[in-house]
Parts: sequence; C-alpha cells; structure tokens
Amino acid sequence: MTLFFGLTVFAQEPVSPIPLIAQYDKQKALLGYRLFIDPILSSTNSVACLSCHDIFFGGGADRNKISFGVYNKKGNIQSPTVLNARYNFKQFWNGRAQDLYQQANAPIYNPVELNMTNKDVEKKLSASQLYRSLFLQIYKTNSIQFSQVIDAIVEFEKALTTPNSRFDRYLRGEKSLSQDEIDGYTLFKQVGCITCHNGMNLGGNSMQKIGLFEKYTNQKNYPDLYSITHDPDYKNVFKVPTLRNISQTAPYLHDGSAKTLKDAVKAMARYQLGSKLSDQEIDKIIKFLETLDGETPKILKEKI
Amino acid sequence: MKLYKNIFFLLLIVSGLFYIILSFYSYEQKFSSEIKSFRASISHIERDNSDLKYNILQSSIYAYYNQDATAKYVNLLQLDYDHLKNESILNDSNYADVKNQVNKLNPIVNDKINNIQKYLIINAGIKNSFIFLLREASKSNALFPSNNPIHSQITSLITTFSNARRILDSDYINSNIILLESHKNYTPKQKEFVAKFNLHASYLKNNFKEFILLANVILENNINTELSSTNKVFDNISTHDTQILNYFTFFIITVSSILFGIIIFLLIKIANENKTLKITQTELDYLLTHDKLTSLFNRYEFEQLVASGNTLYTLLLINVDKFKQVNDLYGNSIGNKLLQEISKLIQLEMLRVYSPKYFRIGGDEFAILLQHISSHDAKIVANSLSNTILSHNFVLSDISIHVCVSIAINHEYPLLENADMTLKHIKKLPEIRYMFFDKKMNFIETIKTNIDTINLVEHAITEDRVVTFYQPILNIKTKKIEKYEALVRIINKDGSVLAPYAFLPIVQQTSLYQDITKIVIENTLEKAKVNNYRFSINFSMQDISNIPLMEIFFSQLESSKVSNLDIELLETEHLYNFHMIKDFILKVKTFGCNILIDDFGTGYSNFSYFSEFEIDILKIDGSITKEINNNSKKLQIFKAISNFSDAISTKTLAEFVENREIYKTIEEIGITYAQGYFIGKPSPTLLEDDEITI
Repeated sequence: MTLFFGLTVFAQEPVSPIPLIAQYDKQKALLGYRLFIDPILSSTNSVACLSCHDIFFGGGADRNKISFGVYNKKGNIQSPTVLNARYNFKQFWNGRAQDLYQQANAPIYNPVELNMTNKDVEKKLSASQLYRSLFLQIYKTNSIQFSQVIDAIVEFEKALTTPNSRFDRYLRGEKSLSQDEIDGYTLFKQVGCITCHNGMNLGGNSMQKIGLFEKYTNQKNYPDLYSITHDPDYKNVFKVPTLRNISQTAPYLHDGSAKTLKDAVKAMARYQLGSKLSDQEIDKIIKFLETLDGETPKILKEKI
Repeated sequence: MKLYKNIFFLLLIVSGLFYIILSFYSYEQKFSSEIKSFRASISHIERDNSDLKYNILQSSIYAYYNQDATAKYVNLLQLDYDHLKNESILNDSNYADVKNQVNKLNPIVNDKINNIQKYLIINAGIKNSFIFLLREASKSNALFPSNNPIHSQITSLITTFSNARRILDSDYINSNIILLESHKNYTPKQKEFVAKFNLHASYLKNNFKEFILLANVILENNINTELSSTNKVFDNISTHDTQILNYFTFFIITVSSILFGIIIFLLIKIANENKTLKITQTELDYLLTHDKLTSLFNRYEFEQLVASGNTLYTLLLINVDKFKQVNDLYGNSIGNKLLQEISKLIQLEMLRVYSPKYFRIGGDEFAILLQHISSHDAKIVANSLSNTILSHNFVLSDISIHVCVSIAINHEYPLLENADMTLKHIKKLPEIRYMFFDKKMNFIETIKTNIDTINLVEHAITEDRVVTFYQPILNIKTKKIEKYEALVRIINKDGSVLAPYAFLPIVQQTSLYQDITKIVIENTLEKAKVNNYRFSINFSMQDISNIPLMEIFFSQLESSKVSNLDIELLETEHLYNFHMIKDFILKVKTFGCNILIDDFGTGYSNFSYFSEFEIDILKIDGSITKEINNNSKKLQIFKAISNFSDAISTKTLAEFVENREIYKTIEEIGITYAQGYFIGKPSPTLLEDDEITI
C-alpha cells in the first residue's frame, strides 16, 4: 500500500531524479578531465575551463559575479554551472548552443575567455608528449584534431552529474525529509516556482522572461534571447537555470546580482511571481533547495 | 571455332551487363535507402509535432507540469527538420520541387518553435497568476468581513478566469472585466491584498488573449498540412522514378535472360557438335579398322597389328572353299549373308583364352590372330573351326547351304604370305582341311611349277607343238642373207608362243630335253637340206657331254649329208670338259660345220679357247650390241672384241641389231654379220628374198 502510494506520488511529481548512472566513455572523459583543468587551452596558459566552472568548490560555476578570462578580461554574464549540464535542453543563458558540443567550442574561441583557435589548440596539444600519447591511445591518431579535443571535454562534462541528492532519494522513497524541507517543497509548488523550475534539473528545460510582474531593470545589456533573435518579445528572456546544487553556486541570477540564496528567492518571488514571501516561507524554500545538493561526480575522484 | 568466338563475345557482353546490373543495384539500393530515409524524416517530424501538441495541451491544463518532455520534443523537432533538410535525395535536381516544399517548411517550423517558446513564457505567468489568485482568495475571508461584496467579486473573477482557461476562449476575458476596488478605509493589509490580487488579475486580463492566440497557433495543423503536401510532391516524383527503375529492372532482367538463353543454346550446340564430331571420329576410326560387312577387323588393322612384330601371334587363315560359286549361284547378297554368318561362327568360345582377334582380310578370307597357343592346341582349334562350319546348316533367304573352309596355321613371319602359301597348298589337296605352314613348302611349290612345265612340254611334244624358228643373219659386206639361226619354240594351245627360257631350264634334267633337241636338229637338218643358206643350232656344254644326245646328233648329221650346218657353243657356261669339246669340234668340222662362240663378251669369255679350238665366228653378246650407241663403255668393249677377232682372223657376228643406228655403227666398225629385228624376226619360215634393202 505504501509502495503504491509512493509510486503514485512519484508519478505525479513535476520533478524527476537525476539518473544514478550517467553513460559516458571513461577513457575519453578522463582525457577531457585533464583538458578541462589544463590552462594549456588558453592562449596565455593562465585560464582553464575550471577557472569559471569550479567543479571542486564552486558547484561547477564561478564564484565571481562575472567571469575573468585571459589578461583578466571581464566576461558579460555570470558563469552557469557545468554540473548536470547534459540534462539541460540548451546551453548558455540564452540557449544559443543546442548541445554540449556546440557549447564547448565557444569559450575556447572567445577572446575574453580562452582566446584560441582550433589550429592553436591542435598545435599546442601536439607539442605535448603527454597529450600526443594520450590521443594516440584513445583516438588512435597521430595528429590531434580539435574535434577530438571537444569530444573529450564533452565526454567529461557528461560525467559531471550529481545523483543521489537527498531530495532525489526522497522522491525515490529512500529517505524522508524534515518537515521544514517538505513544507519548503510544498511552498515551492504553491507559490509557482515549480512552473519554471521543474523536470530533472528543476529548470534547464525552458526559456523565460525575467520580470513578469515587475519590470526587471538592470543597466547592463546582458546577452539575452533578444540579442540573438532581435524579437522584442525576447527581451530579458533567459534559459531557466537549474536549481541542482544551488546552495553551492552563489552568486545568483544571470548578472550575479543575488549574493545569497535568500536574495535570489526574494528576487524571483518579486519579479516572476508578483508576490512577497515571508522570511519564514523563504527559509523553508531554502531548506528545500539545500536538499538538491547531489553527490560529487564519481569522475572527480579518479586520478588523472 | 566461330561458335567459341560468339560465346566469348557474349560473355563479354554478359560481363558488361553484369557490371551494369551491379552499378544499377547499388544505385537502386542507394535510391531506395534515400527514399526510406526521407520518408522516415517526414514521419519523425509528424511524430514530434503531435507529441509536442499533446505536451503543450497537458502543460496548459496541469498546474504542475514537468516540461522536460516538451523541451525534448522542441529540440527533436528542430533536429529532425534539420535532418530532413539534409536528406541526400534533395540534392537530386529531379527533387527540386520537394526541396522547395521542404524549404517552405522552414519558417513554419521556426514559427512553431518560436510560438511554443512564447507560449511557455506566457503560460508560466498565467499559471502562476491563476494559482496566486486561488491562493489569495482563501485569505480574503480572514481579511474582509463576510458581508463585503469583495468576496463575490473575487469568486466571479476566479470563475471567469478558470472557465476561460478551461475553454481556451479569449472572448471570456474582455476589457469589461472589473478588477477589485480599494477603499480609503481599508487597512494597509486589505489594500495590499487588493493591489496583489489586481496585479495578477490584470496580468491574466492583459495576456489571456495572446495566450489563447498562441495556443491556437501552436495547435494548428500547419506543419502536418505542409508535410502531407511535401509527401505528395515527393510521392509523385519518387513513384515516377521507382517506375522507371522498375522498367529498367525489367529490361535488364529480360536482356539477361535472353543472353543467358543464347549462351545456354550455344553451349548445348557446342556440346552437340562435339558429340557429333566424336561420333564421326569414332565411326571413322571404326571404318578404318573394321570390315563393313562383318564388323570384324579389316586387313588394314591386321597389317597394323602384325607390322609391329612385337607380339608372337599364331595366325589361322581361313578361306571359304568355292565361295565364288556360291556368289555366282545365289547372288552377292546371299554370299554376303554367308560371310556374315561365318564371321560369327568362327568366334568360338574356346578361343577366348588365346585373346583372339578376328579379321576379314579378303573377299572370302578370314584371319584369326591368337596368342600363347601351342601348335597342338592350334590344330585342335583349326579342326573345331573347320567342323563347326562344315556341320553348320546356313539358311539364307530360305536357301540351305553347306560350305567348308580351308585353314592355314602359321606363326612364322611373314605371317600372311606364309599362310597364303599354305592355303594354296591345302587347296590342291582335297582331303586336307587345315595345315601348318612348313618352310619346305617353298621348295614343294617350285617342284610343283616344274612339274607343270614338264607336263606342258610333254604335251607340246606329243601334240607337235614344239617347233623351230629361224632368224636370218646378214653378211654386212654383201648385204645378203647368208645364214639362219635355229631357235626352239613351243606353241601353246591358245596360239601364244613360249620362249625357250620358260621351259628349257626346267626340262634340262629330264629326257624331254633330248626330245626337244632332237626335234630341233631334225627340223634344222630338213631345212638345211633344201636351202643353200647356212643354219646354226645351239649346243651347251651339257649337250656336248650328253653322250646319247651326241650319238643321235651325229647319226642324223651323217645321214642327212648336209654340209651347211653350224654349231653355236653357248659361252655362258664354262667349257669345263676341254677334251670333250675339242673332240666335238674336230668331229663336226669333218662335216663342214663352222663353230660359233655364242654370247661372247659376258660370262666366262675365255680367250684361251681361240688358241686351242678352231673358232670360225665370234658372236658378240646382244646386251653389248644393244647399247653401243648410248653407252660408250659398251662401244669400247664392242670395238675391242672386233679388233681381237680381226687379230685372230675370226669373223664377227653382232646380234640384237634392233635398228638402223646400231646397224650403221657395226657396219662402220667392220663386223662381218648382223642378226636382229632390224634384219628379221625369228619365224617358222625363211625369208623369200635373200637380199634385203637396208
């Protein structure tokens, strides 16, 4: 009876757990791991993917409001997390990359990020005895191709999933949550957060306008969907970010304007829901959000 | 050969065709996989579209909805459309219309995705506002007294919105919707409630129209409509192409089948020709080595087998006795049937062990070659054969015939010749059926012939057919016939004339010789008596040493009283009894006989005779005279003999003077006498005139 009830709840839930097993090629992923953390991919040997996607301490995102690239050049948006990115329907804040492959190219080319060309990448990696032997071993090639570099990085990113969060285990009926946490989840649904933050990633599956009930005013022109489509309807339209591991990825919002989770929840209630939540309500929602922290990806425990 | 060329040519064509078929097959495979792939792309889009619609409808109904699936289908729609655009078949210029159609779909797909995006944005606000209103409505009871009309206003607004949302009709919400009113005397909390409520109610009011509009646009079937017309265009072209491919396939199959048929036909033809050729070859071989009538081996095969001489054969040569009579009496067809029957009969079972080979080697002659058979067994076999045929009653076309055969047995080479001789031998001995070849048979044969000759001479003598011919001899100086040489002849019953060499050597050993000599002497003396010419007769050494003959001769010579008889001594034999010859010469000289040495120049030409005997005429051998005009050596010999005879004052006589040229030459050399066809042939009578014109 309990099992039946549990299943019914689960089936009706607008959130689904992260799969326990992520499919990826381990050899390639390990090579991708090395590339991810190696500043060799930047023109100045000073910046790596890791610089803006802190998978060790930053929940896969940047603790800076805005990321810094080569020569400490400033980017134009808060770096989103790389964790569970494979379950996003599009990549980047404005969703301009259809998948991880398209995404991985961009920072390498970006002059304010890694500032490289694919020829540069091939040349630099080919000069390295280590990479030559690794690529020979894995891709059976003597000449390293840029596409193989991207492939390896993407394979690593595919491995960056954080299953078994407390909430996932609750959904699976393996663990119970505290009353506050359950209340937080109920509030999360009741006040309408769930409308956009649903699915496996609690977000990452739709584009939404920031400032539905109150105009979101910000001096800066952030690269929103309008910047790509030039459709006025898409001004301030961004991809809904994932709430997985949200406690670790401060600062929040596309502009990093919310320093704390509380600030972020408040802002969302104001702009998106047209409502004001009590401190008590906010605390409960945050308690719920904290249950979304998952396990460290297994691959990060591997030695490279 | 031409057939092979044709087949080679056909094979070339077939290989070409095969290549075409292969290329065609790969093209056809590519084409059909392209068609399949294109159809699959279309159906994927159709599926994405309907899945998407279902998800959109659900998301508008449920308060909480997991949008992962919607996101997934939006991505899939985009992906599948890109896939469709890149279908390889669209690169084919024939499918330009389809490509246009697919391109037309591009803005529709983009619009669809765009609209969904916009719908989801509005939907989020609408949903949240609706939830907010529902949630806030419950708070109103605590905030406002129960008689406050705000309660019914709230209820009415929520009913309107929820109906509108359920029915998806924009007309439900119009500008007439009245929001809540705030009063000055409301508490700040009450004022805040009204403000919040109105914020969401106006959001709904302002955005509902567009929400409904977008929902309707999204639910429009435009993608499917466009897809089905794309499908239609595609079907038209691809059906046409498929039809062409089908025709071509049919064509290729037909041509291949025809060619295949032709090749099979030609191969069969070749096989048949080879068969015929082989049969002809076999037949020819058979005809070459076999007798047509009896199917036994023929003489050719017999000779081939025997010629090698490697095998020791015993030959049984079988001759059908009096076969010619059978043929004459009953006709050739019966004769042939008889031979066929015999050919079967002679293949006796008992011969098997001797590896027999049967031949028909002549008209009525069969041969059997046997191996490893003893003489004793050969005789038994021959006896059996003979008895088998003798006892067989040949019934041929209602005629019953009995025949017998003669069998010669021989194992000595020359096989056939010896057997033949044996067979001839048997034929003369009526009681003998078979006989072994014996080397003595050759001698017996000779005796047989001699006996025949003796018989012939005997008969000639008794029937007065031994006659004397006379050949004239001319004195070259006087141009007158001076002498005749007497020559013996036998006139056969049929009138033909038999020369002495055919019978004299044989009868020499018998008393007949004396009889013949007597006749010649008698005849010649008769002639000499009544003619003035000189007549010469020939005596050999044997004649002279034959005392009874000599007695007869001298008695006749004495009684005839002629003095014009000359004696020609045959020089061919050695005059071995010197004294006897000397006595003979002295004696005949007393009768006025001249002595001629016959055939001088050949044989034992002994010049010593001339010193011992009184030789009158030297008769130069005909073989020298005959050729003096075309053989210089013979001319020299001739001249030498002439000089020699001059030296010893002996006259010369040249015989075989066959023509004028020879005559002129010998006249020039100074020969005394000439004899030969040019002067006159031997004849039973003498010439009428003794003078002849040269």
